[in-house]
Amino acid sequence: MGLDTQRPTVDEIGEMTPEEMLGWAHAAHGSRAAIITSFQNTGVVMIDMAYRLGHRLRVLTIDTLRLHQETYDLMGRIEERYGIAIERFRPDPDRVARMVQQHGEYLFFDSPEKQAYCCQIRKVEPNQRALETVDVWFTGLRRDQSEHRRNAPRATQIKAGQRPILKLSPLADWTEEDLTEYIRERDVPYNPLIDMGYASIGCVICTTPTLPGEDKRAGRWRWFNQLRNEHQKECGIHINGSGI
Amino acid sequence: MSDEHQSDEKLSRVEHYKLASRGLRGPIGIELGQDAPAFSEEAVQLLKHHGAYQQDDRDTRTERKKAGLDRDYRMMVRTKFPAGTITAEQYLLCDELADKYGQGDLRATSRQCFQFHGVVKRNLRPLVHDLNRLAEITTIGACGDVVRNTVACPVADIDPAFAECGANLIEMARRISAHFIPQTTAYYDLWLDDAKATVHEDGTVTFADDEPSGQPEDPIYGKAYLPRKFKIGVTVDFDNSCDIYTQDAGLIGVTENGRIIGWDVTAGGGLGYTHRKPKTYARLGSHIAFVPTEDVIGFVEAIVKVQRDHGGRSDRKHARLKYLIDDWGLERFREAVFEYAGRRYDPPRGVAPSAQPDYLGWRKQLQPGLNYVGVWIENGRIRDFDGGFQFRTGLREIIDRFRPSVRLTPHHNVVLANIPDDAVPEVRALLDQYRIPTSEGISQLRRLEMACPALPLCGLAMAEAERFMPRLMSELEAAGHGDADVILRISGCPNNCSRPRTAEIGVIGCGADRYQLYTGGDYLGTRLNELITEKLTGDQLGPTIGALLTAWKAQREAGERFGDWSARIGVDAIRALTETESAATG
Repeated sequence: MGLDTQRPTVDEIGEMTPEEMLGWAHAAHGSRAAIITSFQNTGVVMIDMAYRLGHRLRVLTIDTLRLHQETYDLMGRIEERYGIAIERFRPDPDRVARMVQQHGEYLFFDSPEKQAYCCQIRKVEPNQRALETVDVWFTGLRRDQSEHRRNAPRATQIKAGQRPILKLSPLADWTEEDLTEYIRERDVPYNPLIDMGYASIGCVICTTPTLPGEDKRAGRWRWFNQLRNEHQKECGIHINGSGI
Repeated sequence: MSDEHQSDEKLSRVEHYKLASRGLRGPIGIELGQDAPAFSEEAVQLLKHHGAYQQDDRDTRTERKKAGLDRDYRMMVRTKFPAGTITAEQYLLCDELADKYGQGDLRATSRQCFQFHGVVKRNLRPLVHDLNRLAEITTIGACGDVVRNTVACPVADIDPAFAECGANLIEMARRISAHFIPQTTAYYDLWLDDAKATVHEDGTVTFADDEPSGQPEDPIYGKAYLPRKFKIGVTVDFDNSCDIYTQDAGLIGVTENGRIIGWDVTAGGGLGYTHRKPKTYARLGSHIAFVPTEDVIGFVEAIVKVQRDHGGRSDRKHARLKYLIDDWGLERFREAVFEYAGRRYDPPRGVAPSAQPDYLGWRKQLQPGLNYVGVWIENGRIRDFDGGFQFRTGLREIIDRFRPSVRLTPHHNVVLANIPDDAVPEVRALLDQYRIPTSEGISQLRRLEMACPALPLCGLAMAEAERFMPRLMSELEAAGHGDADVILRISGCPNNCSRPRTAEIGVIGCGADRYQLYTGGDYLGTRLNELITEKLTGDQLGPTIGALLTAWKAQREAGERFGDWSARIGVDAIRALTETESAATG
């Protein structure tokens, strides 16, 4: 970047409104800034905000090949609505084949360790590849999503491999109600699973809806709920020094 | 065996849902507890195995979308009645539950079941629960990739023609049905076990979804269940009322002096296909082998297992047993079944059923002093029609007062049985009072017609069927064709629920107000009809079919039936006749 003198500090970025953050990143980093989303409500709102203001940021997603049909359908609607080509990062087919051959397609039932391994192959590794293509990573983390995410900052510098990148969560302090209102007002395409009680949406089978009063990520890997209370309920994209 | 599947081609999405469903549970229990009006795709696919389909009111879609509303989601719940036979008490409970949880009507189906339409999501569990608990009616396997309801002649145990074999026929249908019920406890946990369900003040339910992550394996279906639906029918060589050649597996009792001496087993029937997908097609079952009674269920199980292990699992449009048989060839398939059955069987006798009766009207029963009456239900819809047929009130009153045994026929009509001689006049009077036809009171053409439910609720429908049929009938009757003894059936899409492809005249929806016309099936249901023309509008159907009926009456040889005439003169000649008609009306 040749405009270092004008470059805001991480703290200053963290003070920007979501619209300012998206606009600044697009202007300053162009195609090295991207929204990486699983198309939950924060993701679709970020896309709408950016595209409404003409910030045609890249939109990246991790297609684990095991997403809900509803999510695949939504991707099509978003591409049509905003005229974008969503970039899909998929797991390495050889590694998936090896994993399935060794442990079976549904290894995630067996133990938290195998579940984490499946997430590693299908999600974390493609996410790392996606991150290699960006300097600014927009993500949909929200503080009300779980206890684990309560202190998630709006802007933070993290390491992707050896390289520092900026991880931005412009809607970190929004609530589910804020998002729903935004979506309704502007008729933003969103995932119908949310209306069905899915508070967190990942792979099919591994995500189920949550009951009233449950943690928003309780529907993930539900079969471990009784097994081990401290099970983190994170796939790994947002832990291990990635700056939550 | 699931490992075998996985080394094959890429599995379809539904295969994954089933394999990881922990015995058909999936997210159903959790989603039942949600306020949302709809289920997710994963739950929707698994719910079918429990007998429930998610649909929505397609009449209001556009209007609701304009108003910013989501679709008006409704569940359809299908029961399972082997041979269509139920008690008066079961009928009355269904009638009551239709008001309580459904849309106030019952739909008799072409597989001898009831469908409850218009059930909102929060009423799904109470409905399935009450059917089971209050009347011992199950819905498990009524839909989904398992053996569906077993169809059979509904009067075999009471009609004199079946004197020596009828009870065996109904008994066989029941035994087959029981044999192939999925063994998962999920059905009982989800719908019946009140200890596992907590009903909250607001009417929502939450479940203790405590089934471990391991997947119990069904002794017949394995972990992945079948690649697709599997339909079984049972009949004898003088009765094709259940359209035996449309079944994935069919049992034709071969009779000698009225007694069943063994069974010709057929395999590979199935009428459903997809428009513009030539590798999908309708097919009639092929005779496989002649099997003695004591072995026949085991033999059918062998067929089911061959399909389980070798049927296609990557493309659901190409997964029915018929495609496996054609991919392999009949000989290879037969050898595989013998291998699974553990022995070889004699070649089939090749006898085809010699009639397709509809059992309408009054008949003396085999049992002295008792009578049955087959009543015609317009398109199977048991409802009161303003100023017309009072099917629902009439049937309820007769069944409540006389407590007959009730049978649903494969032509979506109803038979009331065990009516004592002295009650016949009263039942007749009540049928008249409520304008319920028997073999009388309607034209012959109307008597034989069938239509599937289609719009507004069926998600598969491409055009109207049930709602359109009365108009088509009135047009043809007005043109003087009411007396035609011709089988005409319509379905809203090529899945063929009303079996138009085995009718003499078949009409199949292929777009909004667009229909294909097929002719040339036979009166017995043993021959497929052929495509004549596509893209007829509803307005064109009446005149076009009318012109064909007129030509048939002028050209037929003595006693020649419409379907036989049509097959004799051929597709080109029939096509020419329809083109003349379109030119005249167009």
